[in-house]
Amino acid sequence: MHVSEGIIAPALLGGSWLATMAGLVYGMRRTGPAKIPRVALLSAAFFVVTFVRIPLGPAHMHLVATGLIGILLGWSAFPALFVALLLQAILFQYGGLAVLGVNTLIMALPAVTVHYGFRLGVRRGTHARVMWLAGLAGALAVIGNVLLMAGFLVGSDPAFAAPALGVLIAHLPLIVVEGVVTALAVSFLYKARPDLLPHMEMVS
Amino acid sequence: MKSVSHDALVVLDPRARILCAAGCCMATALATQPVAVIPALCFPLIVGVIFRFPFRRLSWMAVRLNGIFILMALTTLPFVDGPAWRSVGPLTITSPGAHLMGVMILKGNALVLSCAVFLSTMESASLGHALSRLRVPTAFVQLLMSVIRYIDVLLEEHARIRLAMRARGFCPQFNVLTLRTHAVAVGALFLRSLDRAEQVADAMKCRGHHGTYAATRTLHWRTADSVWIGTALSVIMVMFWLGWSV
Amino acid sequence: MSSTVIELNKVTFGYHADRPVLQELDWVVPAGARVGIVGANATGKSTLLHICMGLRRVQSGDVVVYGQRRVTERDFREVRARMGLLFQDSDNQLFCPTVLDDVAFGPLHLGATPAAAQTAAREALKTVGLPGYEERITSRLSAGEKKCVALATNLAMQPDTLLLDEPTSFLDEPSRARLLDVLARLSVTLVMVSHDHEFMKALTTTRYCLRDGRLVTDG
Repeated sequence: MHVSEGIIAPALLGGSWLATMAGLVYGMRRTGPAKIPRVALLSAAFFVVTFVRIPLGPAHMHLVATGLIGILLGWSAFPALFVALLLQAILFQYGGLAVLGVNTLIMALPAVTVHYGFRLGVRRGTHARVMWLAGLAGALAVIGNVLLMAGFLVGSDPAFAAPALGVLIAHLPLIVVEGVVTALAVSFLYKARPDLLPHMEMVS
Repeated sequence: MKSVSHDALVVLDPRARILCAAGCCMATALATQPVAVIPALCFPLIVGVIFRFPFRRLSWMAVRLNGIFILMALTTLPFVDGPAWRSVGPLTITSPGAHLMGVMILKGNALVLSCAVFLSTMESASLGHALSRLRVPTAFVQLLMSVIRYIDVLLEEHARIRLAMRARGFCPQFNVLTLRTHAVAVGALFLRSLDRAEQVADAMKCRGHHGTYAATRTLHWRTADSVWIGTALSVIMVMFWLGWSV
Repeated sequence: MSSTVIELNKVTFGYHADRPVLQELDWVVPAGARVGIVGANATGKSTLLHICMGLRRVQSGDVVVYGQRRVTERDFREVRARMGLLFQDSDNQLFCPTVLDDVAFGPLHLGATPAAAQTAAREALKTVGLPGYEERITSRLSAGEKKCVALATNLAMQPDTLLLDEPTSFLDEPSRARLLDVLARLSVTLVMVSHDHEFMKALTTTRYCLRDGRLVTDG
């Protein structure tokens, strides 16, 4: 899920770069040196997961995994997603350098938001509850991604309302898929290593 | 990741390449007139021709990018009001609409082209070295380098997980079973990544790392690098002059 | 004091409180010894090495390394500067994209200047028989080359003790022979965990078996 180069207005590009830098600095500060390997490995995992194709009729869609990254990383999702998107822009020309700030915000803001939602809800978590919350987090993260993307399009030029609507509709199936995949993946982690999930230490 | 074969631009210091790409991208992104973008489109093209950049590698990207732009144009142009510019069949293209689309298509292609020509053939590790010499904080550089290092490892790991699933008769279709299998694969990949992360943290501790990162490399800036930066700067100046005067 | 490298007294460790992996384990490794440890899977052989490096903290008992009782992270920093651990999975040990970055990482973080660290790295690569590998991309190396580079990352820090965790797993015969050759020429205290009996016989003089959380002398 990327916005291509050339579409977004200069003022929004600049503003997003500033906001992304702020998020990066805060995210790196919250990360701390001991957690760098964890952020790096999850960033690489995000990079790999976005290659996964899920067939959908004649076409296919790609997973985004922002919900999962958000749940596991919190504010560190900013540097993790930024680095993955930077490498995708350089190596595969997905997105681009100028629009990198916009793309990072689109991905990272919902990720950080669902992290806090998940942590709040999961306090006295049973397995079923963890799964439901993760599914909700996965779906909401994609909704957030898509809404931000549409917002950036319309914010650039009101004439982009129609393509923005198209983006919203095209991503409806992904919302469901991401919800289901996030729920099952978190359930997998919960069964294998509950200590890796945030705020689960007291549960197991 | 793909291996880099003939990277003729390797004669340039990676810092010069990053600065060229960043400068061109910034100037292009700020342009508001189509004519101002033309130098930004020509500069990477000329550099690419001189250094024998494998342009064929970009063909799929160009099709995809301009496909998106055509979709955008089709869904946008009918809704832009203003004086008519041309009419194509039943559709009347207004001049603000044409301006909007012209800027979008030129800018999009120019931005992707300069990023691709200057950076895509660069060995990813050099990117990290250059950034650390450009005074990007070392913790961030270490993060970037570790991601570069482990993308390959995780791609292999994911391929192994998928192979194990296919060996047990998994065939991707759009149904609940497929989703479930994908979810298990994603969960397994994340679990292994997290496990690996703990061991990588241990490995770093074993090698005397406790808190701060040191930069490893020294790079050599040559006259040629200054020449290229100078050229890039003049291109940017021309763009601004065109952007303001038209 | 300096004649013993590792001394464990009644060390107990477990990942789950009810199932200890190591139980009141006693062990002494004298300086210059060449020690091998065998044992079934999941008996805690790797854990034992990790405890010596301070990567796992024991639940009870004393860990004495280089003549001093080590408890905190700070205590173990000194240990890690002198003692090297070769990981079972080289991919986890080599976390930088290029070989030179990886091998120079240790000396740099022990306070060497970049130039001195690079010299140490080149020397170490020469010792493991991989001169000229400095600019190679780690992920494009073979398993055997990765193992040797991982050994070089340790040697660049000039350790006086090496702990090896399954050094020959995933290695083909030529790589295994080369690794054996390199290790045989090193003059360090050596502790090795392995399933490869021949390899172990060639390199070690004292052998233990880890069984039911304790070390027993083995042949």
